[in-house]
Amino acid sequence: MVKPYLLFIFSLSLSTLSFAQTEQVDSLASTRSVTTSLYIDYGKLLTIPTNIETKYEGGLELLFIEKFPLIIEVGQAILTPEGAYSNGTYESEGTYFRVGTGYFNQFTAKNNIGISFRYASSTFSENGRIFISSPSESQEDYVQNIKREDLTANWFEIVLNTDMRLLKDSDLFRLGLKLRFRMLANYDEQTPIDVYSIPGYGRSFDKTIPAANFFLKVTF
Amino acid sequence: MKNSLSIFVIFLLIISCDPCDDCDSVSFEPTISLIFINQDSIQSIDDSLAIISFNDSSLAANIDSLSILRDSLETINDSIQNGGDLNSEKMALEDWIMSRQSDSLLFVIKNLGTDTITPILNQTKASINTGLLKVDQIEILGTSNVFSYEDSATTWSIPLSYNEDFNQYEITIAGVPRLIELSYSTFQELDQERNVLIRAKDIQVVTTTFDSFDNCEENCVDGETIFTFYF
Repeated sequence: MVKPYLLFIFSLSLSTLSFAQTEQVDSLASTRSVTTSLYIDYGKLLTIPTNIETKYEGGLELLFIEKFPLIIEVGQAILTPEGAYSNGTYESEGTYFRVGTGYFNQFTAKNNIGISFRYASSTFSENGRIFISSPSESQEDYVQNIKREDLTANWFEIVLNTDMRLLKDSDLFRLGLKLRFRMLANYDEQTPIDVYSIPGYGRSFDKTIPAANFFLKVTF
Repeated sequence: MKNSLSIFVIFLLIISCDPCDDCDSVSFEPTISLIFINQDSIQSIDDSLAIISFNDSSLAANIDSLSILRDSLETINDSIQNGGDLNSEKMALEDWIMSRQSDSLLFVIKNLGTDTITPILNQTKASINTGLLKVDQIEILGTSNVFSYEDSATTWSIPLSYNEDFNQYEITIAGVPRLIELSYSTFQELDQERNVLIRAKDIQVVTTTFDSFDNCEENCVDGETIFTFYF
């Protein structure tokens, strides 16, 4: 059975390609050979005040002939999900990067739309503390520290993105949305208690994950 | 109104920051179950049942003998009545027969009692075979943990250590202490509620001062392993 979000991404992909083929764009004379943009994920900045996670993410986009992007994204995250260990504390901390390319096109005069692909890699560590109490009270409570360093994970992403111009006559600032479909390739599995959260990806036992990012792009 | 709201917000902040030491803990430890069978009592009951059974068969044999004897004597009696002069002997034999029959009747009456006792003894034997008894106390040697009991039970749960792979227990039943030494290895497991638990596997009885025991052959993990000890 096809999951709803897969249908959504698939239909959005078709729409993207369809619009890319039918929309009229500026004349070739005004086409820039390389357009450089920087963007930050402002949605992740909202996580900073919470005690669940802290994330920072941004990217560099080199758009060739206004159609073909080369994208590099980097991020850093400290994740403290509640459900990692019910009887303990847990924190996953690390950095990640994504590189990829795709196809962008103008949707309307103010909006762009695109589809791209990413290879992503994360390097992270896990720290936790387990607490078990003795129901018979015959022994001291069990406390164990979990510390795993230099873990890595790799995954791929299909990304659909759209953005809109913020200023009327300038492409300097744009607000956008990226819809991602992540597919986990591999990670450093741990026994007996496996890795829980991978910075930049999500929970290790979810082999595919949908995600969304809100970004502010500055185009030079 | 504003002040009330501020106080309420501060109150919420205070209670939300209240540290809770036990919030993230789970109460669990590996355990196994023990069953103690009083083999001596079962042997005594078996002996009693054997005696009763022997008496039953002896009684039947006596009754049969007496019947044969009575028939023979009746034949002799008839012979005497037909011409013999052994009347005094006949009278003595008849008295003797009556005496033996009286004894036999008494035996039969006693046997009716044993018919009641036998099922009770069998029921008691079955009850002992389930392991129903009262343990005075179980002590985990090397620690200061002594568990005392007031009620009878068929199985007795004992904890294994989180950090060790060997434990000694002293089991006291009817004032008699006996030793059990267990070996095992611990491992971590994540349960369905994502609690990290310490469990035990390869649980074996190393030595014991009980007369005998049934050791675990397969799937010797905590929560499933039951050892039966005989004394």
